[in-house]
Amino acid sequence: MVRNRVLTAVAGCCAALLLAACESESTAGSDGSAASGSPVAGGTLRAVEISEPRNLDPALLQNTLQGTALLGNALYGNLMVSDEKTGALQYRMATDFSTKDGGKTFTLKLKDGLKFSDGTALDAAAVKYNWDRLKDPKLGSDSQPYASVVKSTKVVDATTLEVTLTMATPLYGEQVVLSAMNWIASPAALKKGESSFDAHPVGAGPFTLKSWTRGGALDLVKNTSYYDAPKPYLDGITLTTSTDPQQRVNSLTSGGADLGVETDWEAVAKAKAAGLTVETVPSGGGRFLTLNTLRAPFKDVKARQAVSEAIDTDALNAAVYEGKAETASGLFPKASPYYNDVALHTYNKQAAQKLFDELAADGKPVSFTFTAFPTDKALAEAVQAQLSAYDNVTVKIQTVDWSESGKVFGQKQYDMLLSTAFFLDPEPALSSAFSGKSPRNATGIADPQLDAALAKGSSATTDEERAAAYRTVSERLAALDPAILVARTAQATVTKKVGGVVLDGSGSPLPADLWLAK
Amino acid sequence: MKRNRTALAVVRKTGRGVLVMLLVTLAIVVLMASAPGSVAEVILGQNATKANVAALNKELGVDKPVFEQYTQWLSHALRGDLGTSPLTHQSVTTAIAERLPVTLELTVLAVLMALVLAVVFAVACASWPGSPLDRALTAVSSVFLSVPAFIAGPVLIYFLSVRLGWFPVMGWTPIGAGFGENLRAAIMPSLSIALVEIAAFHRLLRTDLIGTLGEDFIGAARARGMSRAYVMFRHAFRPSSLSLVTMVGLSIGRLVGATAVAETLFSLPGLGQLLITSIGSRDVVMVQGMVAFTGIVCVAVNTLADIGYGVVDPRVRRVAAA
Repeated sequence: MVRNRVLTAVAGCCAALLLAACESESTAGSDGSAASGSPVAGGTLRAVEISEPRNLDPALLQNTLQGTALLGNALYGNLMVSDEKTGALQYRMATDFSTKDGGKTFTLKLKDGLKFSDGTALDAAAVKYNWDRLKDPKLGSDSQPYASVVKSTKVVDATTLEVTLTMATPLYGEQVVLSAMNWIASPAALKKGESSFDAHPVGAGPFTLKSWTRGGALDLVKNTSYYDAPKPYLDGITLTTSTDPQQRVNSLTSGGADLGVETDWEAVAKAKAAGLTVETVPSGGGRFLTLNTLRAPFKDVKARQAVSEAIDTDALNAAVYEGKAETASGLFPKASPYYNDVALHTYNKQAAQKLFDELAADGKPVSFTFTAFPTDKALAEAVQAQLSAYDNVTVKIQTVDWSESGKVFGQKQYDMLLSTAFFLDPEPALSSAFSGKSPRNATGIADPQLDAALAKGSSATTDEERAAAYRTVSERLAALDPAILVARTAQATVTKKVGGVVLDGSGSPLPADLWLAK
Repeated sequence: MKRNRTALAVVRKTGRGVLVMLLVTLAIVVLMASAPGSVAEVILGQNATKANVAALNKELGVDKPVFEQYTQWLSHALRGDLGTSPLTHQSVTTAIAERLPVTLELTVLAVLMALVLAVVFAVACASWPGSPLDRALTAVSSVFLSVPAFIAGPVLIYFLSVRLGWFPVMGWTPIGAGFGENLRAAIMPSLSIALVEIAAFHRLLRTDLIGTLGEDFIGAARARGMSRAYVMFRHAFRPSSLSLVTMVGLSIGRLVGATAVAETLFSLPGLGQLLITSIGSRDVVMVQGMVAFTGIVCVAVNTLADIGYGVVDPRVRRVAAA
């Protein structure tokens, strides 16, 4: 009798919990809508990022959504941004960055009277100082390859900088927007050293640092001397970090955060299901299974074709991303002016087996190692499982720590790994990923036709010319198979009752425009 | 004579503690040197060519033999300088001082939760051994024992944060920003690491209490008409808690490990999270300093636990004095 009462009580509690659960889910869905109307001033936005900065030096921040773009944009503002729909350059602290000689030299013009938050001038000399130091490989900036394209800079006057490049790059502005070159810090503050700068970073962005608890929260407050008043609308931003996508989404759905950046497809799907607002940029490229063409077995195009035809990307999506990822066969999304119907990858089981058999008969059976970083283990195992259905191909998995990523990529110590190349405008990402001249070309592919097409795409001035060049790029990539496109990247900003979500080229929200609905 | 023996015992314990510290810090240097990757590669990122890595390793002094690096670190550490991280440019002592309050609060809260619940469970079980209550609490305890923090954390988050909204999913509020909010941020991570300790403490204390309650002196106390509660807490509890004191001392090391998991999961700026991050980025200077600090704390706590035996059990005092 007593036992029955206890069981009844437990069942009652469970039912109550279940009801509470159902109620909370529907509430989250109803109040997650985007804020609309005129911007509202005030409030502190609670944002969750994926990566915590190591230092606040703009050179060491990563201008990517999954990096520290939100923080960089908040502290240092932007010289330029790119339109979230078209990728076209829009000027912010700069008023012009144009070339008259096909991209050999550029003239950067700054707005008059720009000031850092300490009252000193943000002038052409400050830009020169920031861009020059980015080139130093010892600094370890992620943006060093972009900055190294600059051969020299010359201060013409307080607001004008003449920039000479090492090679003609008509779309160099896009490279500035997507790198730390877009963030200018006070040279005087930088010269005081890293420790001092981390305590008192000085930029001209919409926010300044209030406090930073490493591993905890980074509190920013409104920069009252920001050049573009009445922006920023927010009084402050509190940035926290979580590497766990479930935690980021849980934080938003439970009301612990107002804005989160997201690159995980499952988390994006969960956020949408919870009724949160999800903003993305229609990016091309995506996550690639990268084959190292500089060494066996993938030095042989036949081995690359065999593996490419053997991989079923839909099955990978189901196994790794619960079917939530956006798979694609072509390099460009349909919305892109450069869209073409060339499929980079075709799944053909019979053709793949035939190629594996031919390679084995030639005494070159395909055997390779998938170098997997901690987040890529599931993908590596799914690839291994798929290829185990074929004869004459062996896959091993080597798990490596993130701390080894510099060495793995820098010294190309892998046969296959997952890398990312996504873009709104194809430049500089496509050239960086596949040009034979690029130090960031993880595949190591060096094909004259591909390089010429990439150069043409980079230097052409009309959409038609560029589209033609990128069709050739797609065709060469399909023929050479240096990489297998697994899925597009999830570049999403998830918000709850936040207005003014304007995304820049990397898909990062611009903090000066954000506001909180009352 | 007695004073000399006590002094000798203290010297012996301190000597042992110093030896443990030397071995632990040496072991961590050897382990970090054997691990793939280096802080130079992390700093240089994709610019980590062989030449660049070698040059930076030389600049940071990590190209020297491991033992030479260790003796250099030791000579600085003995003078109170635990070094500066080449990655964050933050001094190790500053980093520890910044993060210690979070870890300390989580650990103290976890131990308190574990002790209170374990004592309640154990007393209830020992009072009615073999009863349905005893079996139910022992079963619950078995579940707790098999749920590490990395499992307990997400489960607690799902029910208490996402579903019920009682506690924040992640993040930390310092005491200075409000005691209530601070407690809200600390309860769930502390509970996630306390569960295993609750079970361990409960099972140990229950067994000891049942054994003690079967002793003749307990029977004699009952025969003198003393109440059950008085006998339990005045006569049985103290001698039964000797093993518990040892266990609490030993649990500190385990809790440091568990706080690392909880701090990472809940994004809390504590020592454990810093340790995990520093290991991941091969920041030997930071790891070495933190291990030395944690080692000192563990050795000190265990020494205090040794002293605690004497307070709890007069027999230990007599043996020590003999």
